[in-house]
Amino acid sequence: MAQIFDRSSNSLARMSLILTGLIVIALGVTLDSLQRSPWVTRQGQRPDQPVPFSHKHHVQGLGLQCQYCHVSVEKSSYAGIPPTKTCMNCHAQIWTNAALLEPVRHSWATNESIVWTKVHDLPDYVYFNHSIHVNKGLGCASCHGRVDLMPLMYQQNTLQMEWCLNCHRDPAKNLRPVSQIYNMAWTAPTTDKPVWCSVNGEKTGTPTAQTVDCQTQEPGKTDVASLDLNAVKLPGMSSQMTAAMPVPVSYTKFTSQRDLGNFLIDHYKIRKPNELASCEVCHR
Amino acid sequence: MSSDNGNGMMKHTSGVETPEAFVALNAGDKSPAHPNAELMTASGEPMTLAAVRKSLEGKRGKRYWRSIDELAGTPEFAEAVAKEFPDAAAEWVDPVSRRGFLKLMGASMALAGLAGCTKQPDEPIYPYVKQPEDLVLGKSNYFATAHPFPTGGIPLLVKSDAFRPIKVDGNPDHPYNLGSSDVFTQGTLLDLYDPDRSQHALLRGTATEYVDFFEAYRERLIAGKADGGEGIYFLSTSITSPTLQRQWSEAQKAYPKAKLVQYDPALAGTAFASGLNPQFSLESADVIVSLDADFLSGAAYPGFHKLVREYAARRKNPEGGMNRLYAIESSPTTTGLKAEHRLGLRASEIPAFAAALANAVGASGVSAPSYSWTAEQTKYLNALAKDLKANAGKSVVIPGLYQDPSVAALAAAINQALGNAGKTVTTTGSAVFVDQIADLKSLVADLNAGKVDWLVMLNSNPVYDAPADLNFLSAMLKAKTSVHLGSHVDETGLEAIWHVPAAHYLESWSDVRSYDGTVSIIQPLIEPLYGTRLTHSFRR
Repeated sequence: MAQIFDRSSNSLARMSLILTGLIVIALGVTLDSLQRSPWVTRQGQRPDQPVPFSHKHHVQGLGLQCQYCHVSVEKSSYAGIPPTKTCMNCHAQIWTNAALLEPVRHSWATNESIVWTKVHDLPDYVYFNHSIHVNKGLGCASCHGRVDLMPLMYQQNTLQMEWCLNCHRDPAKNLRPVSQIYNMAWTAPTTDKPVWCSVNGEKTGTPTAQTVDCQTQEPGKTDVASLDLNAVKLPGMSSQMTAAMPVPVSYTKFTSQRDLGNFLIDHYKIRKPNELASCEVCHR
Repeated sequence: MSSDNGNGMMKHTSGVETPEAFVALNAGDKSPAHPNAELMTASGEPMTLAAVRKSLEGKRGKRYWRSIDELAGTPEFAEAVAKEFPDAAAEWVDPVSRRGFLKLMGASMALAGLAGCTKQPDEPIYPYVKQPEDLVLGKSNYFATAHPFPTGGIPLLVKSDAFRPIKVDGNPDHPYNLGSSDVFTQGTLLDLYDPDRSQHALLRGTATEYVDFFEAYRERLIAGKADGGEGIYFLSTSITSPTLQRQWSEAQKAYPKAKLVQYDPALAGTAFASGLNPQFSLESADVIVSLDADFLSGAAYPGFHKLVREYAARRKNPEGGMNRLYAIESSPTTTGLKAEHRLGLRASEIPAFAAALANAVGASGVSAPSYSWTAEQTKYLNALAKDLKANAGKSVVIPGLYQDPSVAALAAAINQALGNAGKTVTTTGSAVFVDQIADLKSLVADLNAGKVDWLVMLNSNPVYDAPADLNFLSAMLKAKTSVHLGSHVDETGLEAIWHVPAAHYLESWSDVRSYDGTVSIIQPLIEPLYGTRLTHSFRR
């Protein structure tokens, strides 16, 4: 009886088996990278805005502080988008005829909102609180990137859940002293550029971040920190003020982000990953 | 299919008209043999005994038939059998739709997770032009206001997010409720956002403008200046707002012949509506007696918030001396379940029991009614009287809201006899005696007599909740003009000539008196969502 299949059928069958496996794998990889691609996450995209507002110009060029516009970042879950009034504080007097600012003047005149497109848009099922992050040593730039260098606003990070967890599993790698939160150019401490921190009268009821004092200058070499305030009365300083200002006991020198991060986790009372295991922390 | 028809199956003998007749026939054919002449065989020839015999010829074994028609094998019968379950039949018979259904279900189950992979749409931000100074977006504000309720206002502290009220709770700083509220109050937030709320003024069911109504209303009021407002009637729920009361007395001066009727279905005819509003202080009461008073269940009992709080406070702190609750009641209630000693009595027996108790504790002018109590009831009565006398001045008797008015009077007499008055029971405020039922009856009589020119119904729904024997609807239709102010187009709103949408209390300025007499300001938390109006705006 003649063979129904030619000899080459063997390799064809093997090939098609392998090919099927490869297609399945390729499909998985494609979907996975699609889900993480900027097309879905909008990472790095600069959506059209009614006014091409430049953070670079306003922050780096003019030196506006973040909170001048994003007023509620330390107080509320929502950092706040400035009302038209904030723009008009200055632009009622400068660039009053600039064509770019026409939407601002229109909003001011008609009492209608300037309709921005949200750049950092978390899904509605995510609860994110700005104030807790800012008050516990996470700088603006850690999530938003170097906003002071962005002529047009874009999203630096994916804002996907894996990105959240990436930091929450090991917060130490991103923490910085709360005094450096708005410092866009902050970099981790190194041997060349150490950070000194001390803890003053840690007691219950005090906001934890305020009991930690960190400096980028060596304390012994600056004036105030090492002064014995009880012995030396500075002119204009009342005795009450002197009493209220505790004398720093001792500063610890940090030369690596890891050491500083672990120190801040302890003293800012930051919850460990196992203490954040509950889903409803973020999905309320 | 009802098998009732099975008994009256004779009608199908005149030929087969409806499938129901057949199915009923299946269900139980108890009818005697039918006149065969009127039945037909499948071949169309009249069924005769011979034809039946012919069809059975050559058939063997047991063979059953459910009816003579099946035997006859009529096509109508076959159709009726197929339609025995007409609703479900198509689903099971039609293979395509069933299969398609399962396919679609399977596909949607399998692909359900894909819905999470969609790209988020662009989201706009609408910032303020001038942001209010006290607003921190993301942080809630709290505003003090009050919920007007027929038994007295409930002072509130309302949580508001970006100036939208989102949670209603009692005001913790108010001496009456100290932060507590109740189910009715909690539910009012849903009323505010109810999409079924009335949104337009209606004239005979057609949307119109409020100004049109107001024009007509003002014309009537101007005309009323001359005749003293004769024929103008107001029907309102119990007025608990001092400002509304003052506005009414001013209106009464300008229009002496205008009439105001207050009617609350849950309060009309009770001792509360009759002006008796005793304040019970359970803080200092060691023994509490409820005479069919369900004061622990909900806000329907006047003064509920204070009563339940003070009752529970003594329970939570046994070292401070627990109180003891006796409940004599006609139906199982929360109060009865909480009571140490519960006695179930018929509602009609409770006045007699109250009188017997009053007599036992020595209330003056009360004689024990001759009523044959059971041994258990007598034992309860004696023990209760003994306990009350032992705790004179430290006890309180609370009468039921829906009991005979004599129970309220007897409870007052017992409290007086025990020296509780002034200690655990006080009477505050100048109660105005309003007999709501008599007032409503006279209103209906005036309506039927054609004396009513304008009937203005303020936040009330008498077509629904007036006693049925008054036949309010037919009386209301006799008014020349009827006006309904209400949050919804309810039964009354449908029948009234004018309907005006009412503002929610969270959209209103007003004031209200709580049960303990304190007055709270009602302040709005939000601009009226629709063009709604206040009760106050009807008093001009």
